[in-house]
Amino acid sequence: MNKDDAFRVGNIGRAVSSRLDQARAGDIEAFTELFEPLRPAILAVARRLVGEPDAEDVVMDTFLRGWKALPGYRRHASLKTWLIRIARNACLDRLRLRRGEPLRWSLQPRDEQDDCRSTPVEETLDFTDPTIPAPDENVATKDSAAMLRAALGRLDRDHRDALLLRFVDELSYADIAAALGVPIGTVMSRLFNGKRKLRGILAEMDPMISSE
Amino acid sequence: MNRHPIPWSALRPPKPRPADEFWAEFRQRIVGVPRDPPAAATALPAWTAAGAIAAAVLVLLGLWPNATRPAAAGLILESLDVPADHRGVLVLQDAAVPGVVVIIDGLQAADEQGEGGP
Repeated sequence: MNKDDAFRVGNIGRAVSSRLDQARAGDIEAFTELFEPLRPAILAVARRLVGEPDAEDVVMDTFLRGWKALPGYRRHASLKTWLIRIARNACLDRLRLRRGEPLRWSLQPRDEQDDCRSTPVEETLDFTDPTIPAPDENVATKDSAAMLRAALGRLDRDHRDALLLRFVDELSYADIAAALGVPIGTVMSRLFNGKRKLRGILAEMDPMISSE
Repeated sequence: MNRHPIPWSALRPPKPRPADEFWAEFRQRIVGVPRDPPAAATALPAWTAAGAIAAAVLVLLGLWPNATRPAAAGLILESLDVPADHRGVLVLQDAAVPGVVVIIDGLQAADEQGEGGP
């Protein structure tokens, strides 16, 4: 079993379930053991949504929120997807802070679903991910990785985020949907169209390169 | 013409900060942080419980309408999956009557707001 599978709904094993109960009851060791494997995925989401300078801070914020909220976790979503939703909310709050807006969650209970749909991240982002350079990066080196980065830089934000979360960060469709605040069908559509567009851009750069 | 695959792995971002360092800071920062209360069980509406109990009594007494033809039942409960948190399940099934009564105790209603709220 893949290590992530242990956190999927229905696959949760007895040992994980026991540790989860302990973490819900306040056992920090159990919380650490249970959530450490999820840290790379949370960092990936934070990097994609708020960029590098704040990503690690958002990760810490996410785990603090997770610690606070864990007693209310009801296993309707996988633990990983649940935490990614929290990470997305933490990212959105960080972006509001950048814009000088008050944090809505501190004033009233939030409707997480509405929040995801009503706050377009792409309108607020200062794109600072170091793994993706500016679109006009010099690609004369013919280095395929640099070329890929340049091609991704020419994609629109929706497609780029979906592709990066899937193929670089290796998140599942469900987790990408939670991170981006869209339905799984939208994720699949963005991946399909994103790959098609990327393939076209790469073909312009070098016919020998394929996005498959 | 052979096409070369794109090296997605070349774009892999740097690794997270060391685990020891991260969790040490986490332990410091959770001191005094109040935790949310455990999810409260959502009780079934009173009329639902009363109806289930009444149905169970009818079945046990053999008073269920059209309960005289076992072959007419056509309903056999082979398995039951309750995806939400609950305390227990009581299944009343009698081959002599055309019905099955399922009582789920302590069923918690889905609360998506609570799942991703913080």
